[in-house]
Amino acid sequence: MGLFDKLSKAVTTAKEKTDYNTLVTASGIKATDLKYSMSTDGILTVSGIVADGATREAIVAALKKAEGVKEVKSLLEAEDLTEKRIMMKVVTRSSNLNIRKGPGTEFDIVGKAAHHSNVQLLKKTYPKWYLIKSENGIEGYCSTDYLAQV
Amino acid sequence: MKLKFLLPLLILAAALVFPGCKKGPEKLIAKTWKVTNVMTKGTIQDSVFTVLKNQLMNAEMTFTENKYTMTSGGNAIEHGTYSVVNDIVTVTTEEGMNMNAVVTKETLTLDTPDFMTTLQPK
Repeated sequence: MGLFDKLSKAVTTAKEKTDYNTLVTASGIKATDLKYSMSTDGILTVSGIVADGATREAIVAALKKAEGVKEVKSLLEAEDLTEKRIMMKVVTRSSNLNIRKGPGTEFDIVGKAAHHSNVQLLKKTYPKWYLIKSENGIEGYCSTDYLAQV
Repeated sequence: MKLKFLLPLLILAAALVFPGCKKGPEKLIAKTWKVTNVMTKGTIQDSVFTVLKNQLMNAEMTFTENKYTMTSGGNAIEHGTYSVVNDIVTVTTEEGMNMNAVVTKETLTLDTPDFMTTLQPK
């Protein structure tokens, strides 16, 4: 491919950036300042800060529908909620809640949050797993099944 | 008396000679041109575009016998064709993209819906 053809493709790709935002907005997702980068082999990389993991997954799903996109690589990060000091209550039946190194039961347990104690919400990282900080200062991921808003 | 007779002849000769001096686009384009500017239509910021634009700005295009070759640093980097129909010049890239060419003695512009390239004789 010659330079003029590459240039034409680059301009088209740049124009498509606007369309990606339109696509995301049209899918009912509120997200601003997203950045897009399209590789020549159809891999679209999207980065930026989003409210939570569910929004991130919705954005990726919406972008997969875009023309010419073979794969979406997400570098989206959930918003840091530390400063907002949002507290959540551990609502396990009776046991303490496992705090894990990563967002899933396959990750090691790094600590426990006491039954009915409060934990601070740091990031809504994934729809089913939030990054929290326990009363005794342990940071890690907890299942959202056992957390309730205070 | 002689002048009176010669004047119409001189005017007639001038009318015949000067149109003959005017070169058509086919002759005007057939030389080596150097890219002097690349402009996009709209505000586009893209690192890939910037790299390609920089490559183009160092390039030269040679048009001859309905073909063009683009070189940069002495290396051939692109080739394509051009056609002249009713004094309208169309430059076609190897991928089949058409660019409308407007050629004068001093300037050649290659126009597409997305960008415009300006060249000057080398």
